[in-house]
Amino acid sequence: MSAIEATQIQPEAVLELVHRAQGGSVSAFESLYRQHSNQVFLLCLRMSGCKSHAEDFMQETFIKAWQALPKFKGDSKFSTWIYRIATNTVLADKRKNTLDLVHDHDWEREFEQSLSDTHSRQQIDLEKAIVSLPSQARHVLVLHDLMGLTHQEIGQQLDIAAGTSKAHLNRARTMVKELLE
Amino acid sequence: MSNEQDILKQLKNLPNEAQAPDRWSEIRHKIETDEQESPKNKPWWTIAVAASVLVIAALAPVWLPPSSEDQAPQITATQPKQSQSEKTNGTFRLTIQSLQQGNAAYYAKLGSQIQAEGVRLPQETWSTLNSLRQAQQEYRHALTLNPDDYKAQNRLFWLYEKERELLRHLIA
Repeated sequence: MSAIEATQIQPEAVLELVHRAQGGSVSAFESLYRQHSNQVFLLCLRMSGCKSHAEDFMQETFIKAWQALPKFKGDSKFSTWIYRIATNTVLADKRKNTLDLVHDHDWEREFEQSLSDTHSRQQIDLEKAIVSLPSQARHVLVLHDLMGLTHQEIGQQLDIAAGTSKAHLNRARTMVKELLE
Repeated sequence: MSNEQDILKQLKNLPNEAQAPDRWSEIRHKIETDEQESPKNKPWWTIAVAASVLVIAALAPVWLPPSSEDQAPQITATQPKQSQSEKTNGTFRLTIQSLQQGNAAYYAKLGSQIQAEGVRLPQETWSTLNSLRQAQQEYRHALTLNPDDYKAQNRLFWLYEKERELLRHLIA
C-alpha cells in the first residue's frame, strides 16, 4: 500500500500520536510524518512552484514541527497546525520566493512528475496555471481556495490587509481562468 | 455555470496531496542530533550543579549590604578606634566571604568532575547540600536584621565549614 493509499487516521488517534511525540516518541512522530507528508509536500509545491524547493520545505517543516511540538495545545487540528508551519517555512525563505518562477522545460517536467500519481492531466494543467501566477496572488489563492483560510488569516500570514488579500484572490482567479482558456 | 464558479469547482476537486519524497531518515537524523545536543537531555543533576555553581558564585561576594566596616581596620594614631563589635563583625564578614568563595570553587570543581566522569551523586547528598544552603540563607537573613547576633554568626560559620567538608569529601 502506498503512502497515498494509507488509511486516514481518526483525529483521536492523531492526538494520541501527538501526545506520544510530545513525550519524546520519535516513532509516534514518524507516524505523523507518514500521515501528513504528502499533503505538506503538495502545499509547499503549490506555494513555491518548484519541486526541489518543495521537498526541502517539506523536510524543514517537519523538523520545525518536532521542535515546536511542546507548543501544540490541541486547540486546532494537527494538520492545520502543521500546514501553518509549512506556509511560514515557505514564506520565510526569501531566496526562493522573491522571484517568480522562470519557466523552463526542466521545471515543467519535474512539476508534472510530482503530480502524475495523484492528478489527472486536466488537474495538472490547473496546478501549473496556479504556480504560474505572481507569487502574492498564488499564495492568496492557495491559502484561500485550497487551504480554506479566511482573508483575515491570510492577511496575518502574509502581512497584508484583508482587503488586499481579496483583491489578490480576484486577480488570481481571473488569471487562472485566462491561462486555462 | 459561470466561468468563475467553474474554476472554483475545479479548484475544490483538486487532490489534497501529492507523492512526497521520503525524507524521514534526514528528519530523524536532525531530530536525534538536536536531541543529543539539547541541554534538556542532560541528566537533571548536571543542570542542578551548574545552576548551583552559578548562584553561589554570583552571591558569594554579596551576602550582606556593603558597609564601610567591610574595609580591614587600619589602626593609626589619626583614626578613631573601632568598637570591639565592629571589629568582630568586619572580620566575621571577611571570613564568611572567603568561605563562600572557597565553596563556590569546590562546587565548580564538583560540577566539572560530574560532567567529565558521568558520576551520579545520591539523592541524599543533594538533599544535604540543599539543606545546608537553605540554612545558610536563613542565618544570613537573620544577620542582616541583627549583625551582632554571635550565635547566628557561629552557626553560619559552622554551616559553611560543614558544606566545605562535604564538598571536599565528594571531590576526593
